[in-house]
Amino acid sequence: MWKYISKRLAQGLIVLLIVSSLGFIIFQFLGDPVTAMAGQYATQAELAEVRHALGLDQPIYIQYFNFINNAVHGNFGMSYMARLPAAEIVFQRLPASIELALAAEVIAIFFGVTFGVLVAAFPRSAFSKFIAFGALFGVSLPSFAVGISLILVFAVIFPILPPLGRGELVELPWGWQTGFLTLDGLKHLILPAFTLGMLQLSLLFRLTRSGMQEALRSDYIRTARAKGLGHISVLFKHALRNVLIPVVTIIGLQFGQLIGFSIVTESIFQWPGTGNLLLAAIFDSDFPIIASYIILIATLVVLLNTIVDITYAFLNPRIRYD
Amino acid sequence: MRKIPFLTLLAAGAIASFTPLTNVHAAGISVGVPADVQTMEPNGASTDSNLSVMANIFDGLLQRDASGKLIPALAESWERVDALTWRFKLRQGVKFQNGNDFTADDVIFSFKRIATPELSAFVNFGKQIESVTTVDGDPWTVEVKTVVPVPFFDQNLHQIFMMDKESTENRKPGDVGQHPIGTGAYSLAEWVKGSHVKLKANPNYWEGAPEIKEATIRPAVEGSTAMASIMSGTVDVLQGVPVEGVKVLEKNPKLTLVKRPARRAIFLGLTNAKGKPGADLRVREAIAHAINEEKIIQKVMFGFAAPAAQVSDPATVGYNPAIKRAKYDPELSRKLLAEAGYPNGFDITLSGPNNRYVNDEKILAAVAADLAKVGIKVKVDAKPKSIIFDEYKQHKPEFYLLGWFDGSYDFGRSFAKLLHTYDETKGTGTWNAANYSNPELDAIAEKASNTIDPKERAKVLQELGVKLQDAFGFIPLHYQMDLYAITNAKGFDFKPRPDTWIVFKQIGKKG
Amino acid sequence: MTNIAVKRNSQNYKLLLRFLNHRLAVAGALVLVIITFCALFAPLIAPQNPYDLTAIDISNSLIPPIWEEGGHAPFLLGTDVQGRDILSTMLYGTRISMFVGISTVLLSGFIGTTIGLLTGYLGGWVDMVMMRIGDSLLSFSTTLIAMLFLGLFNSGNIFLVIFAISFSGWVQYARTMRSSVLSVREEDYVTGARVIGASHMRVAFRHIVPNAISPLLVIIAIDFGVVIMLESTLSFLGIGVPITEPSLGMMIAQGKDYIYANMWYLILFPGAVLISIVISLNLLADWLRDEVDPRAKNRR
Repeated sequence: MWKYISKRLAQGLIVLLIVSSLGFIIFQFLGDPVTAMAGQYATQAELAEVRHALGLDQPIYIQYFNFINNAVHGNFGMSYMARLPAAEIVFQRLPASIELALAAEVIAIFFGVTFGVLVAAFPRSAFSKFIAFGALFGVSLPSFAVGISLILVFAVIFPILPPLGRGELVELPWGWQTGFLTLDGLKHLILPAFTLGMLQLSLLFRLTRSGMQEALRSDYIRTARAKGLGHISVLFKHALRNVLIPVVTIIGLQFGQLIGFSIVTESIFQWPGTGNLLLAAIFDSDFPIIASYIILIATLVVLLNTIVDITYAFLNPRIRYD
Repeated sequence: MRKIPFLTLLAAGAIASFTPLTNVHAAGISVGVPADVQTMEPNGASTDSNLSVMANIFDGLLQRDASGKLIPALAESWERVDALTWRFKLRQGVKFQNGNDFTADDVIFSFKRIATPELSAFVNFGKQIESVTTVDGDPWTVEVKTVVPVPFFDQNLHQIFMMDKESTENRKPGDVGQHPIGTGAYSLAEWVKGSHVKLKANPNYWEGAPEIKEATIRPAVEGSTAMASIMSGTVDVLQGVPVEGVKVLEKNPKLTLVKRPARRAIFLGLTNAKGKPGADLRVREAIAHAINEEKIIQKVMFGFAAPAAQVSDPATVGYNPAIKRAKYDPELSRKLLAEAGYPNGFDITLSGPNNRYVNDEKILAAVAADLAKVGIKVKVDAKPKSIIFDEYKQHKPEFYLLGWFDGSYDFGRSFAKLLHTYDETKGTGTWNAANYSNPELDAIAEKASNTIDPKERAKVLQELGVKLQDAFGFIPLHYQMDLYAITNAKGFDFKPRPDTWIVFKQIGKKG
Repeated sequence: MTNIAVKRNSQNYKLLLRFLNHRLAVAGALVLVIITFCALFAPLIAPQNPYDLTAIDISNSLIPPIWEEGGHAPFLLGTDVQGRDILSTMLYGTRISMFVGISTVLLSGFIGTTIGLLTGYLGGWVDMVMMRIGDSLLSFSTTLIAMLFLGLFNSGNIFLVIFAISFSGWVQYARTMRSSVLSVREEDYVTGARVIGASHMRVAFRHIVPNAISPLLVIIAIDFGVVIMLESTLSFLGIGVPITEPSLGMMIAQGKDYIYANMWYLILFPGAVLISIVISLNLLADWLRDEVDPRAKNRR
């Protein structure tokens, strides 16, 4: 078991190394940050000086070595645009992204699983057909269109929810600013969380529905029913439990991606998270920010994957640790 | 009956929503801006969006009033002593927000700091300074010597901000860039990166405490988000109203729309390298006549732009009101092309940004369609600014779109960067993306920079403008328009500035 | 011989019957066929060639649909800001979107299945390294990758979009293929085939690949829709297809600028086509999943 875990973590380090090298290669093609940094009147000589100050005039392999060396020491350099430590900026904006992803996940799980169970139990009702069709809608529009439509309907035409930002925040220890603890903060979460969670909601809905359909046909459920257990009790206590393992796996695997893929949602709702930061950094060629971001997300994904695998191994003893 | 039910719905919704969601902004003003705040390092970014915030926290030696006129700030008076020397009489009794006194040492320190590439986006300006000293043992008189004559030196001083030497030196750069300490009318109350900047009035401001006590700057980058923010009442003032959304906001009785011709001109540049079509003056003229700018303004810009005949705007030294636009005349254009030996046109790639100017990519497509009608087959290459401007600086494009306005109000300076023959050692032509080269124009420009008398200089620059127009060095399209929407309810007296900065101490309350 | 053929035919016939019984799947297939037909023959159907810059006129820009006030012939569904006929642009744009979808799915499917097959079959360190590379790629957002290709290609075009999405898109195909391989690798008939001396290639293509095809088909159907939407998102971010030759996604991305200008038709019509394509694909995928999932088979 410990061997398995340490092996997984070693593999995680390989992932990080690959990610950092790839990120570094990509940076070579992202455009030149120096132009924007030196101002529009800078001469070529001054541009060269800025380039030198940033170490961007050195051969690529030396730049790469310096980058890895600094990264190992936890130093990702100063953001070119903000002229502040890059890792610090990314960390400051991480709570917003995590809270958004969490909220999206909660919405996806709650609606996805509930609807999945209900639709499987009452496949012929009009409600079920409506939900099944709605779930398809959720996966068939790009999230920017979903987000813009939600804002238009719920913030402008029927102004019941705020259109942008995080609202009032409360400061927790370690500088974590949370929007979970104020009504205003929660209100601000609803629209972006729905936008981000929509795809996942559809996925969980389908997964639960097909799992439930299968479970409801199985013998032990029939037995349970024959024993005279109530419908609801059979549904949620017996059948659902059987479906939850794959659902939980998917949730774990997708959570990292929710954070990683929130770029569009965050930009539509002007959400002050890492996705929005990354988007700006991409368009400004702000490499220290991009690098810190990618490595942070990769670490998160690796950790989550490892945890999921280990839990899964616990839940399912047939998996061998090799 | 069924006429625009949707629009009515939009308008109704916006009206209903004017009960603010929270009372957070009730005491002050909340402004939606089109770009995020990047840094609190006062001269760390040269974008107007960032300088605009800094101008509230910091002061320069000089400042601009709401009309753009240069007036005293931390310097009470200033004069150009000789070609290289500028002398400033400093204001006494000014205090930084941490209680430190503003002195000549701070001025010397701040001027030195802007030549530091890691901390400043004004390296070019910083490098032009030879020395900064106090004179005649008077600690309140500062003399700046420049390396070469810089006729527009003072024109920049509203955006070179004065920092506190003591507290800046004693803190790490990362801290300085997040917790600014200036002499300005406002101090930073809160900066939630990516979300908003909150400022609170400085009660000890040397001009007297400002009328608006609290101000929030809230970026809304995406156009539809910006629209939602003003319509839902999240912001009181929206800067950069998307041209497509003006109509619905104008219909809203709770809002006032303020328009102001922007200083920025959008124009095209074309190479005149030997063997290229653009080497023939008739081709350049043909392109100028082929573009239906009136339609571009009417359709792509929804009417919110003004046709441009030259790159400089009326406020710039060297602007020449006598210059007129080439008329839209596709017939003439076709004739010129045939005369130049291109009866069937030619193929060319038009480069341009797609996230920099108002509807930039759509303008490119419209220009391409116009040119197609006279036979010039244009391939549009629109890319994000970071990539495309990099190509501009490497002089890769042959035909490109650019927007420009001169922060120092000097056409000579613009010409040197935009169209002067590229010369690395002289530092000219950095933005001459297609390597246009016209020695006759270069000569006039050099004559202008050696002319010290401002009136004479303006005349030479105006002559340059005429010659430039005759040579079709640029093909100007239009001036953008600055569009603001303002909530009536709170009675703000808001006058947009030519440089698009939002300086809260200049905003008053009506009656 | 004939007996087997008849049996096969009747099996196919049964499949067809089950398909026809599945009303939603039929509806989905029908919609897809119609849309594909329109896209394929766009130059013949469309009233205008929206990609021909000489054919479009900016004077005709932003005309509403014909039944609205101000709408007029020949612009049935109105025009966009460049003066392009929306109906024509949709037909041409669907073609581009479909092309991007098919090419991306083929490219990432090909790379993914090959890698999945290899890694699953060979196992060991090859497996470990390839799968970890896959994990790594998933931490890059497609936006970033698209910017990389934009820098490499020097101008925006559809191949950039295809490569950018395939860059990490192959991973899910590889994972699916790999798990299929793993599940049958130790089965008796595979080991048996190897014992009697069948070559690796033969074992792979005769015994392993057929087994993996069904789940792959399901992924393809879903992925196709995802790709079309990703293309739209890239256009929204300004790193997608060129503006002079808009795809369906580009139309939506551009149309969103006009929502607040009351020009809903700019986003509604292309949006409806996109939704129809993706929903149809998903309906087909749902049917396919039921069909190939052996556990779900005996429910009717």
